[in-house]
Amino acid sequence: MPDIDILQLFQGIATLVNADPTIAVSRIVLILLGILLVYCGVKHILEPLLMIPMGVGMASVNAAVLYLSATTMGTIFIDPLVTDPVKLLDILQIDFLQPIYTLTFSNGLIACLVFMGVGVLCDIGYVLATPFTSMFIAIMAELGTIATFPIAIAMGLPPKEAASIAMVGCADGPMVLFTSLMLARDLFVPISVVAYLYLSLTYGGYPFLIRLLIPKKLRGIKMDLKKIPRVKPGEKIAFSLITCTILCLLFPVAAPLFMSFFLGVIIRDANVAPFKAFIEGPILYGSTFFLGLLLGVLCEANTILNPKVLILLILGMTSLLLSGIGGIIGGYIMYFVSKGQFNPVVGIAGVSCVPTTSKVAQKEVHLANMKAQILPYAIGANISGVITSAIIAGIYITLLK
Amino acid sequence: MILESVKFAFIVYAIAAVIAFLVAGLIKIIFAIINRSNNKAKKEEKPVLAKPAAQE
Repeated sequence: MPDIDILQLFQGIATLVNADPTIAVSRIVLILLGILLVYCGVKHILEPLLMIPMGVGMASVNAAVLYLSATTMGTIFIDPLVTDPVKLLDILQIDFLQPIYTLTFSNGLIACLVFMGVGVLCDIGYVLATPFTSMFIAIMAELGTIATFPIAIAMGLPPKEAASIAMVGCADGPMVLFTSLMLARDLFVPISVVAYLYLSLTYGGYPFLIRLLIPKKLRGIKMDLKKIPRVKPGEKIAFSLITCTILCLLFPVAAPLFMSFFLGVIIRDANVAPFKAFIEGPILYGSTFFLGLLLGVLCEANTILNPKVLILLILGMTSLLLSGIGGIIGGYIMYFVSKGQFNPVVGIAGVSCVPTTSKVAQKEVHLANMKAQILPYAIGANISGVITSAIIAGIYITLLK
Repeated sequence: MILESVKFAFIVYAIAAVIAFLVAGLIKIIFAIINRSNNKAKKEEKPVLAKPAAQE
């Protein structure tokens, strides 16, 4: 009979004891962070759809490190760093999440599926009703994605990584994921994790920014909803099809994003019920679930420990903050142009975190004035934000790849 | 390097803004075409509807 060695039996503890102290401490911190994320998700402090699978994945993967051979430690969850095709074939048969990672994550498919789901949820009619106003606010709310680029360069990041982290300012998870996969493959795990953590915080952080920058009197401005014309489904489909084709023609590198988004929009407006139900149900929820789980599992201490993570945390926050400020400046400009008829809070909805920022804007307006409604304008700016973010992602990828 | 990155970022912003407003312009053009064809269709229908009323 073999001798029973306790550390040999409980390999998760053995690898913790025998690992480098930095890695061991990081593993413990990440396990605790995973548990915290699940707690925040369950309590609805952060987005539960993403945070629960992400937190469970993060805690499990950092606990489940074992000896793969006499000298190497690792997990049987996933190996994101493998590049050799022969080794990859072996790992695909061993690591249980590797097939999903290789076939949907590392090629950007999962980002496109989420984007398709976002398209099905978006009523593009609100953009069509007030196109110039919506686009103006959306482009103002891209301040973070633009201004963070030189800041990141000044902090020592190369242009591709600077552009990837700057995209956090668009507050659009799939977009950040797609851009970082295209431009900064080595850093896409920490960038995506930073992006998704901060996106969850927009719901809690942006209300304070609105209250800080817009006085209550202006937050309560009532907007005339009768001015919004009704848009027919045929008009929405025509616009989506033409815009999708033109944007794909201009930026073929970002074409998967454009196609996915506008396909979702067209299916919604064409009222193809089976496809609509399929995309907004299994596709959107399925891809969000696996996105969260894979992001959590990718947060293994050995993968995520990178000296640049602190810089990414600072830049992500800066980008999101600047975008919020830019959107509010856009809202103020519209307020002055319309001679006080436009509620500047709509500006925050230009940050394209659909539909979170629209909800935040409406909630803040509602708190200031129970009778004020801005949601249609906010959704218009919000969806325009998705389009402008995809345009900026396309420009960054085309120019820097 | 930093100055160049500021210049680069500004160019990216300018291109994005131009394309965004072109998209907004496209929306207006599509609406104008659809409205025009709708009006034309209404005008063609009008005499047929108006005639019996005029005779009465």
